[in-house]
Amino acid sequence: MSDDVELLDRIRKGALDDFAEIIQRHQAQVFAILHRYERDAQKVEDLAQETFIKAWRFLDRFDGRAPFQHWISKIALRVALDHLRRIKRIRPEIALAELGEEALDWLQDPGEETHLAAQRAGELLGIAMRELSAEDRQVITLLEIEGRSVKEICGLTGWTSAAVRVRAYRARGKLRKTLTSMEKMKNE
Amino acid sequence: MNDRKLKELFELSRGEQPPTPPMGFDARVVTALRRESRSQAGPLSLWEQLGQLLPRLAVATVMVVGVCVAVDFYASTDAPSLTAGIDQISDQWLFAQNGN
Repeated sequence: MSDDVELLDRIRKGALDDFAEIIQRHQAQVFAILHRYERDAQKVEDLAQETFIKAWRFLDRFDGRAPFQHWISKIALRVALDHLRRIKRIRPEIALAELGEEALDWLQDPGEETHLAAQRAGELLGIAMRELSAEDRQVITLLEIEGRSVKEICGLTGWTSAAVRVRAYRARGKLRKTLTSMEKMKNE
Repeated sequence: MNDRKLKELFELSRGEQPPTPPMGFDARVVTALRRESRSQAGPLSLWEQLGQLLPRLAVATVMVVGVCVAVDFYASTDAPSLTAGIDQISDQWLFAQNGN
């Protein structure tokens, strides 16, 4: 948004209350990004708060060449990556109970007869992606779920296009393996 | 898990609705920022610290003086006067020195 720049100038000069306007404009986008990495609504809110606090702290580094929306997305992704690295250390084992009947039925159906709701699909993918590293999970989320291009991912993460492609290829393989083992869980 | 199924899972999860930001989220962030900017303010100088402390010191001093006056007033009603008390103590000390 063009008037983000004017508002940000005022904030830099000390008008902290104007930052509320910036938050209102970009909060939906920040919540949407963070929700891809954390399913607990309260934790998403905490991460969103962390994102905006970081944005305010480093506001001097925003030069206005790219839209603010792009800059805040990069911060949100950075916050999400740090969060994934933190929770990776306390990652629980995948339990049959947490998958749910609907997801298990869908996984075991070789055809297209079983329906899976978007929320259940998100939950299933979230559980399976716990097995991936933070970086692998981020590349799969950006590429496959958000539908971003490799070039866009390079701009957001700072990785090279070769690194993005290799990481995505390996991550897809790991994810397929995890989902296959989840498919077999019910029969064991 | 084949490629088709994995792609389908990605597509399905794309349709998931993200949570809507709660009411007053912006105000909460601004409050946190205000708290942070206040705590980041530079350390106070000695004069500023004294200036902040002085009203409390003045009140405490007045209270201590008041308590002392009250104690002296109530203690002196049935006790000998201060000079008589001092005379007595010094006499006892002098006699004790002389071995009486």
